[in-house]
Amino acid sequence: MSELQKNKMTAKDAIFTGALGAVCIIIRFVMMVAGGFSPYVWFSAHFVDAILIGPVFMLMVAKTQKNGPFVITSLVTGLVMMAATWMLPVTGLIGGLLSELCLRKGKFQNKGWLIAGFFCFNMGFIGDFLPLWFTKEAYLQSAAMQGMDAGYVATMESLLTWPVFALIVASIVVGSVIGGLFGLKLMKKHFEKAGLVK
Amino acid sequence: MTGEKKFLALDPRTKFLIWLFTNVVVFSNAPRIFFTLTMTLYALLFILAGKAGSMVKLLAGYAVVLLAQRFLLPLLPSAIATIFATVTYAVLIFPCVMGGMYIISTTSVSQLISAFRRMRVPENFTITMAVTLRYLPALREDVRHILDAMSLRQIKGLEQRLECIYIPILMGTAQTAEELSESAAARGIEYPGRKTSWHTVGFHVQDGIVAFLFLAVCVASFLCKGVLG
Repeated sequence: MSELQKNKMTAKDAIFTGALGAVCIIIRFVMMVAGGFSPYVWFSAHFVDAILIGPVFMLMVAKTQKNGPFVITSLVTGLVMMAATWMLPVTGLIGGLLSELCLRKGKFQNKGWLIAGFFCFNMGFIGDFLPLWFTKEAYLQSAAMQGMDAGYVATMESLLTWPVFALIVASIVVGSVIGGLFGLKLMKKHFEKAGLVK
Repeated sequence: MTGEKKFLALDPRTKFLIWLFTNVVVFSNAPRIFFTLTMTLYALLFILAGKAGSMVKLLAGYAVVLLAQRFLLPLLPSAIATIFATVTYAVLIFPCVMGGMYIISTTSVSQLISAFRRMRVPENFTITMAVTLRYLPALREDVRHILDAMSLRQIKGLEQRLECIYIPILMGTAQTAEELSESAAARGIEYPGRKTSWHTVGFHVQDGIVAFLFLAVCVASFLCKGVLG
């Protein structure tokens, strides 16, 4: 507990987190809008998100080196995007907390734990799909009622299954690893040289 | 301040509350009539808040999607129709979207902060949220400048392109955050005591009425579940 007290977030950390959090939100938002065109794009959005957010996440870790920013960012992202679904803040809170735990475990240095934490952080955004799975019946029913043809309904039904969900999670794992490594590489190449982080 | 008084102003907490009720209506798979009811209530709120314009835009978008869904999609082959699945999903949860838009378009950042403080949300969270919301428009500007600069220099390749967008943005963000926190510290952000706010938030009669209306719709949707299809 004493270690936690020493590493308390300051207002400065909060501001830094907020600014970087805005970058995360923009990325997720752009991918969400792009996903509006097709469920296939939408389902792969998390993969792309993970790669793009990697550098932002790693910079945040390097700059703050303490617990707090990640769960807050997940929650804020969830709240800002709450218009889409109420599940985002909930999954954001869970993912954010797990991410904090991983980072603490690796003392904000260990590469493996950094990437594990990054994966949890990304999983926090899975909430944007969940309602589609939970309200599947209602969704298909209304689609059928609105006179869509059976083929369409069948396609959607085959997409909204748990194996597909598992596939999305797997894609997030891969994306997190790539994004995390990409982030670490950029850190080394630019930020350390520029003296932004030690 | 006098300009704001003309319109119906709700406490931000009320806005979140009615938004929660809307979610219950939408996700409990209530009869369609209650969707229409919540949307009508929100439309009224938009007008009373003096935001009729953005309400009309929202509803027009909704109508377009709905019409396309009814007349265009059945004509298309199913493979193409699947592409519009997410759009039709947006229609399904439209009342929530409307509620979210209502919160965003009628609440200023400082109102949100004072509401958060009244709810005893941790200060770190409040600050982060406020900075995020403030920073979003600035970021859009930055990205535009960088893209312009990139097209001048003919940057090629995905990885290089990403790097060229990323590094300046992250550097700029780090710089701005540094400056912001200095200026905020100068204004006493780290003062541990209670802070005052220019915007006062509090519950009034209108909050009670609006919350009651939404609660009524919410309860009624449960009661009528078996009766109406």
